[in-house]
Amino acid sequence: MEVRDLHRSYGDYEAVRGISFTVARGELFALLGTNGAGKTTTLEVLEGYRPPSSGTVRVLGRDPYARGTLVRRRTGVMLQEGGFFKELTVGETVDAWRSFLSGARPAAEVLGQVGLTERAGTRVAQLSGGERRRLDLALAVLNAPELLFLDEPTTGMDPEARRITWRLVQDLRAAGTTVLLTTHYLEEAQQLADRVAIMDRGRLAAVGTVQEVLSGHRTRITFPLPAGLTAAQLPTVLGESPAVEDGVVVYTAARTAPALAVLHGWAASRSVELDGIEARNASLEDVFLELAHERAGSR
Amino acid sequence: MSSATDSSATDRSATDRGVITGVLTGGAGDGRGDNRGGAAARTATGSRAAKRPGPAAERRRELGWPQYARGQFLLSWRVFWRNRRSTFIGFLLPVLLNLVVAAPLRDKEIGGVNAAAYSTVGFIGFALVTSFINLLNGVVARRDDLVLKRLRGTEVPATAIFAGQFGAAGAVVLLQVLLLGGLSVGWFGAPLPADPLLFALTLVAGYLLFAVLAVALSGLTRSAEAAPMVATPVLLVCMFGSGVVAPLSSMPHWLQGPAHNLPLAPVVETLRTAWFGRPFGAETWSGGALARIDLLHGWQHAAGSLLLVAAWTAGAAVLGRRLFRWEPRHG
Repeated sequence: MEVRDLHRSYGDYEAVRGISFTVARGELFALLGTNGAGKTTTLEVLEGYRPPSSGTVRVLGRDPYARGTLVRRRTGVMLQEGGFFKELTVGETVDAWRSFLSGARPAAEVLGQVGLTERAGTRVAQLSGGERRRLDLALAVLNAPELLFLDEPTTGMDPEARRITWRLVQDLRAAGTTVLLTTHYLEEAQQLADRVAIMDRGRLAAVGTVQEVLSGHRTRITFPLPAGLTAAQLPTVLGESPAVEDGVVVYTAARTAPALAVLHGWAASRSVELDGIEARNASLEDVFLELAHERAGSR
Repeated sequence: MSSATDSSATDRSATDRGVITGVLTGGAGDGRGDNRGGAAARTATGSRAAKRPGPAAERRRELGWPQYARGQFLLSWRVFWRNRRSTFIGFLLPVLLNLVVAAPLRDKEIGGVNAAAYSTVGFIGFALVTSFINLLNGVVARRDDLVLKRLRGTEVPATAIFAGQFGAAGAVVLLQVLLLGGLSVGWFGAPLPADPLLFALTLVAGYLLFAVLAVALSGLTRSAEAAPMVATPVLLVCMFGSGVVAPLSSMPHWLQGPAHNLPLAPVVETLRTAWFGRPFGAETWSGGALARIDLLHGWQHAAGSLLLVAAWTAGAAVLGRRLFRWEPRHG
């Protein structure tokens, strides 16, 4: 899958402003971003719902908008929100979809995978939000797609449903399915994705493996301010002075182990206990917050 | 179903799926589907790891347009009969009206034919309007519920989605025609259609006109709740202004000209001409019998009406291209 300099506007509003990335076969790629960052628009262009305003998009080697049927025989789509016929049961819905999807798998198998076996005889109107999302997922993977689009798949799911979904996605990945996922759960991206891209206001702010995106973001080392010490008595670590917030000392360090070594050395020489010391690697959340911070700063 | 069975279904789905499918959804059409899915499933699950673009992908059975349309047809057909509103408006209403309005006219005559049989043909025309309402509701509901969007995200081409929905609604109309026609012949003593070909052609053309109109007007209908606001005027005009029960000649004179040019009037007129083999269009309650005409003259008489239907259809198609939307308007 290849996206080159994609732009997409709605009227005067430019939702996607020139993004490029490629997703290799078998890879799980996550698009992250806040609401309105352009994730869904990007996905809808890739799914073939709309053409790009400019730039090119290739999915499985073809133009998804012009060659819809050909491309979609091999893809599965789970929309952020997609409808069902409320009159039909879960089983009837899956059976109906099987009648017009090439290479559809047996209904029981797919319902089992998403944990809806028990609900096969239930009308769709009676499903909970999370169950509906899982039915959504069942339809998306029904044709054993080579490429699966998941637009915020676990939004509205309870933890159990989320676990089922993650397991299914991991199984599909293990079997060689390429997955393009959008999410605003950073944990989800961190758990599942080979590579992530962070979208911000229609542009890609960062692309790479989770490690790469996180690298250059510092480790946070925190511990409660030891009794009897003031902030001024704390050492500098690798050239960084600490911040003290609500009685908690915070260092940010580019390299974790040397920073800890310095702190432990200092504590030993002063006979200070560093109870409750924590070193936390940067998470995508931090990157996210930093981006938001930069954006606020640039205004 | 016990939870033990449930968990086994999750874990052993690949090996036991035949049994579980049987237990779970042994409904109509399932056996057929299973056979089809079997080979693909083995590629899909048994050896998923071997899923390369090569042989596995080629072994998959790829569906074509007829299968897509058939799947969509069966889906629409099932949803139609499952929904009480669509069953009532789309199927029962013309039949009930025919019993209530046409049957009492069976001792009268108009244009040389039984008035109840005359009205029955009118209600066959009216069935096109109820099917229009039904399609309009259906398209708007599918759009607003994001069903259309979901269907469009599958490999099924847009033409097959429409063909399936039109086909299912058309099959309902056909059922009504057989029912009403049978009633008319069996009870009202109507003759068999004089020109079945012209009758069928007019029916199909009229159906297409109203189906395309439904798709076009769905674009003007903001929500499922607003659908009656669009549908009711069409329904009323067609019910009372298109010669369904009483001939157009019984309307005020200045209304007759416009009424003749509304979409349903030429359809009803030509259906009558084809059924009774007489040139309908200017009949009156007090006037005498219309002369019988042969097939050739029947077609000649119908030509103008059919052109008018074609023009309406073309107009509706142009409108449809401009107005139809796959997704609800945002906000």
